Amino acid sequence: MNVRNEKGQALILALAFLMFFGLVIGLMLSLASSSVLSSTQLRQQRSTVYAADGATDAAIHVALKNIGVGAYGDPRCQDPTQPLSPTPTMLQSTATTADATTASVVCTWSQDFLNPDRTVMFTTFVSGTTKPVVQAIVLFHDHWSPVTAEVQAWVYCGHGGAC
Amino acid sequence: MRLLPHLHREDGFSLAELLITIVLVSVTFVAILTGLMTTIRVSAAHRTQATTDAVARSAAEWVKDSQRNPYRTACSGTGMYTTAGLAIPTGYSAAITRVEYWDGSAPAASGTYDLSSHIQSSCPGGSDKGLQRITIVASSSNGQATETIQILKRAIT
Repeated sequence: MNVRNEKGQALILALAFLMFFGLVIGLMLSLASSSVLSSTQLRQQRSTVYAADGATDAAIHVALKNIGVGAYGDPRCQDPTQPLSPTPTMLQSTATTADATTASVVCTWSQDFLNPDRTVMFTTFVSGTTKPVVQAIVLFHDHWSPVTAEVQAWVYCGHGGAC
Repeated sequence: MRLLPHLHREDGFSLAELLITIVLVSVTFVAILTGLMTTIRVSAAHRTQATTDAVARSAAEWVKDSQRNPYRTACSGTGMYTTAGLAIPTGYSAAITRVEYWDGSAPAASGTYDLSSHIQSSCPGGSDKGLQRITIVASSSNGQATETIQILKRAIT
């Protein structure tokens, strides 16, 4: 084989040329598609946070207006000494936006049954996830008139669901 | 003695070789151009969407903020809250499109309280019950992006 023979070199060059630019175009399109993907993820994250925030606020308000909610032994809430479970759910809220995100709030009842005030922990989950999104600890001053709600902690849980 | 004798060869490219080269280069050029155009188009659409999303979030926070938009019990619909004063980039808009009201129903002794079935478009009998669902729509003027956010606003007591 004569290595100095240049016949056929043009084909190799052309193929290399095509392959290089094919890769460049592929990378450009991949970049564009990841941008679109990130937009979608951002929108989902927004819906999740607003749905969870809203449902938690609603749960606090419902508990404020109904002093039995979160009282010691309330069947709508859970035992705070036990690990948190997705059920029973105290409140559920579904957005009427296109994505119809549903948020579910579970609560743990007040531990001290002698205390006239309730300290209730609300934990909110959003449909499609098993990890909590928001956790709030609220002290309801039941012996005041009117009853008031004091939010003592409002925590956004991380990706791992740790609050 | 002639050094590098191949430099003196007079063989050039044939017509077929030239035509194939031109075709290959043209196809590649068109593909690159199309790819570039697609990337630019997608990037512009993405920017519009991201900006609309930011406008929607800003408007939602603006309406939720109890300093700028204190909780209103007047039951007068979308006019109770405003996005006036919010810096919105040119070419985008944000509007409060709906305000709905909690009916104040008490939860049952057990079971899940379905909030959605206790939200109504008209003011509940008597007066506002301290919880409202507000819908905010942000959109770009070129019609490429529209984002809807729903927030729940409660009276702070």
